Parts: sequence; C-alpha cells; structure tokens
Amino acid sequence: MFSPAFNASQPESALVEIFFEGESLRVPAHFTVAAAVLTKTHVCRCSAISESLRGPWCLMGICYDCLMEINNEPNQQTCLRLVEPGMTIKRQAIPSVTKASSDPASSLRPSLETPCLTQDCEDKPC
Amino acid sequence: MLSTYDLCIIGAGPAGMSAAVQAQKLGLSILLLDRQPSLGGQIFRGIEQTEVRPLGKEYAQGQQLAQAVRAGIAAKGIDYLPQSTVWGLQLGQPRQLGHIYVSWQGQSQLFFAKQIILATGAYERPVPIPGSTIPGVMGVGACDGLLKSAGLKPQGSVIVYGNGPLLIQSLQHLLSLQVQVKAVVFTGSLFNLIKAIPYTPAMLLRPQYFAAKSLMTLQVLCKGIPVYLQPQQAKIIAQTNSLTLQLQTKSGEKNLNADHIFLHEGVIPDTQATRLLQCEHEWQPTARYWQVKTNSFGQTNIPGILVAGDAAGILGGEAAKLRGHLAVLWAAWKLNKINSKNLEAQSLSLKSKLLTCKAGQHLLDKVFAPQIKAILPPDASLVCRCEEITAGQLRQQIQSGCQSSDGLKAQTRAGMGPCQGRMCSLPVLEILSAALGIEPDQLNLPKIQMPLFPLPAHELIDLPAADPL
Repeated sequence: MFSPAFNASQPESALVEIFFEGESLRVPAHFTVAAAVLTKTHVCRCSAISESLRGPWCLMGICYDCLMEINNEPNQQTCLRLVEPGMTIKRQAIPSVTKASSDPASSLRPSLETPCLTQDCEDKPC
Repeated sequence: MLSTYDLCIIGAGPAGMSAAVQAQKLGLSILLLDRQPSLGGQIFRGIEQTEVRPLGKEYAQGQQLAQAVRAGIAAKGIDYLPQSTVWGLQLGQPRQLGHIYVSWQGQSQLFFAKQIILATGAYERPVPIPGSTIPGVMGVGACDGLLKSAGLKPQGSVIVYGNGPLLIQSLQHLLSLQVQVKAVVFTGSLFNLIKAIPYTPAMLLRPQYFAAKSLMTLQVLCKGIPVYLQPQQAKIIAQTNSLTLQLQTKSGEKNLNADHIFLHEGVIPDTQATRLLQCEHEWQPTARYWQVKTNSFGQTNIPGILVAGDAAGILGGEAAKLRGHLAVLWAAWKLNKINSKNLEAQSLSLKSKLLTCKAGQHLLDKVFAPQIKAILPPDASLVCRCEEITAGQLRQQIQSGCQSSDGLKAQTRAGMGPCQGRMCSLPVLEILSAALGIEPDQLNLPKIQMPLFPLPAHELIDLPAADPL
C-alpha cells in the first residue's frame, strides 16, 4: 500500500469523499481513482481468464490492469480517472476469496479476505 | 473548438508542451490532446499540483513549460483537451488532412489537422518474470509517477529489481523519503561500464547532468543496501502478508521478502500510432526496441505526420523539448508560416543542443543496455497479461512452425487483450528472435489497427459526421 510522502497537510475543503467498496475515503481532488485505492489495497480486480488477483501495474494508461467498476460502470481505467465527489468504486469480479482455490494468488493477503461485493457473481463462481 | 486545425499535438509531456508553446508563437491554430488529467506527461507528471516537492531541479523545470502552455490556453491560442484518448488516425480526403478520432467525456468526435505531431512518449519495458502480475509488483516508473502525481510513497519495505537510469533516480527518490529499501537487484552488466568508456567524453558535454547522475548513484551505493548482481533466474511468490523475490545466483538460492517489488528494464518508445499509420521503423540493437524513422526535424516518411520526444526514440526530457520545437518549425514551414531560410536559421542551435543530448544518451544506452538474459522470459512467465499467455505456450507454437508476431497473435491470442499488445509485443518479439536465432530487425511487430484503445461500441455508433472546414 501507499501512504503520503510529504507532510503538506491538505485543507479539509480540498478533500473529496469517495466510496471504495462501501467505505468512505477522503482524498485530495487531484488523486486518480487508482491512487486513492492504492492507499487501501493493491488489489483492484480479478483477471479475466485465470481469475487471479491483479493490481495496478503501469499507472499511465498502458497496461489495463487497474480496471475497476466506477459508479456501476465496469472496465474503467482507474489510473486515468480523477476522483469525483460521491464516486463509488468497486473491485471488479473479485471471487469470495474464502473459497479454497488452487490459485496461490487468491490466498494472497489478509486485505483480500473481503467478500465479493459484486452482486452478479454471488451465485456463480467468478 | 474548431473542426480543422493547422496542427494537432498528441501528448502533453515535455515534447508536446514545448511544441504547443512554439506553435502558438508562430500563429498556428493548435489542438493539444492528452490522456492524463493534467499537463506534464510522465517526466513532469503532476507538475501543476503546486506544492513544491523534493524531486530535484530537473523536475521543477517543467513548471515553467506548463505555465507557458496554460498562458496559451488562457489566450485561446491552444485548444487543450485533457483526459482525451486518440483512438484513430488516418490520412485522407479532402486535401490529405489528418483525421483524428478522439474519445472525450464519453463521446467520440472527429477532428482534422493539416499537420500532426505525435508526442506520445515512452513507457516501461515490461519485465515478465514469473509472478510479475501479483498485486504489489509494479513498474519502477509507476511508483515514481505515483510520487509525482499524488505525493504517495510505498508503505513498508521495498525491493527494486532491474536496470536503467530511471531505476537509480527512483531509488534516490525512495531513499530521500526514508522508504526501507531491502535490496537492489541489478540485472544489467558491469562489463558494460568498460564497454562504455569510449563514450564517456559525452559527459563533458553535459557536465552538470552527469555530475548529478553520478552523485545520485554514489548516494545510493553509500546507503549500504544489499545489491545483488545479475541473478540467473528470478521469480516472485505471493506470501500471506508480503512478497518474496526468489533469486538464483551463482552462490545459490536467495529469498528476499518485501511489501513491494518494483521492476524496471528501461523505457521503450510508444510506436502504436506510427505503426497504425504504417510509418517506417528501425530496430535499435543496443537499447533493443523499434523506433520510428524520422528526419532531423521529426518528419516521418508520411507527409503531415511528425514525431517528437521519446516516441521517436529515447533521448530524455531535455531533448524532448528541443524535438517538440524542431517538429513545429518543420510543420510551420510546410504550412508556409516560415520560409526555408528561417527554418534553417532557427533550427541550427536546437540541433546542436540535441546532439549533446544524443551523445549523452549513447553513453546511457551502453551502460544500461538491457541484457538478453534479463529480458527473455522463462517458460513460466505470463507474457501477455491480458490473455494470460505464458512464454512456454508461445515457444510451443514457435516449435510447431509459427514464425511471426502476427502468427503467434493469431495462434495464441497474445496481444489481443485490452492493452492491445503494448505489454507483450516486445517480449514476444524477443522470444521469437531467440527461438529462431535471428535478430528482431528481421522480424516485425504485430500489425496495429483502429481503435488504438478499447472504447465502448456506442461511441462508434454515435460518431457524428464531420466536415472539415
């Protein structure tokens, strides 16, 4: 995860409130969604083929590994989108990691033990 | 907004910004397009987020340039669309105008321009070692970009792995921010330092620059961080709470733990747009990438298409500014805004400054030349991150007779995912070249087609018909 590098304190008015997996986050207005998410976790989605966990890689719009759901729209490149007040951000098709999986990456980190919040993958393995 | 411009500049990094400022001085109508939310590109990423940051003098210089562009935008001399994605480029009727398809704010539109400067820059060469897709593993440039754009640093411990000048700069940033760097793994060759000796006089041409860089390297070395040289193999394994970098060295296996692992093997030019336009390209054998062929002003073999900055071969930020200016002079000459005498006179000093940058880059290229062993992925590596194709799968196809990048793409889908081969096309080329025992200049990168970036289908359907004015 990432944390502020400089002590420049932001005035409360310069912060934007967004919701990452339902949790309120207050971040500076010049943050991209990916930057905001990286202060909480490395994981932003499940890969499309093997369903292994992925996080942002290039942070410059090239790799498409940082795709997430923004305001219910899937496949948004979070490293190119600035945060906006009230934005809701969800990880994309994260499996319920509690299920025993042969994929070693799915037992990656404690922060991943968040159950899947995407509605449409509740009933089928994602 | 107009529908037809004298000049369209794609990319607002040092080259694009410099081009915009110079073009405005010459009275051209300018459309400046950029994917990022603010000016600066990658080198000057986040330059407009005013707080003064300890990122060095070189970085601070970008502020002036950004201010000049902002002044141009305020004076209505530059039309600037941030967060816009150019997904198509075409040359066509009428009057051989450049057609520029842009996605902006959820809609696509078509612009026309008489001259186009591609200042799309460079990105990090992908380093597909096994485990490089695990969350927490990132590019060194990504880590540095996050510091510049959001003022964020990695929390916990860090391992830096790879080769290249940016690696050392980023290390210095990390150390100055008291980030715990557990180890540095250098995949370059120390033998290169000897091979680079004939090029060292270039240091005298830019003494300040190289003094600063050498000092930086010394500072990093003096911190007493364990340095591992040229591992035979490397692999990243996810642990419950951290990452493990497993190295096979001459003295045996070594396991290093950290919260973050940053990889880097130099940067490569973004050739997606020039390949779409079928410009001529050439292979750079030392730096190991394809770059577009241009004349000394940045003009490609296709009239009206110019390339400036690192997109036309890596020379760095200082050179990018000069190359942006040179490209504008050529465009202005083509548009009859300056005569050929002025073109020669004004470009002379720029070209001589550019030569010193080139000499310096030759030296850097020699010192930090990527080692085939380090950039050639082992079978277990995921080479195509999108379609999840391993190096082993690609080698299997090559064994069964597939002998081109396009063939491998058709057989395995490597390069067909959302990144459209940006992450895998060079590693695929290296695998192919090594397997067939021929140099990559005998091979081609895959063909590029529109759209250059994935876009929602409704944007295509709703694309308004536009007439050039």
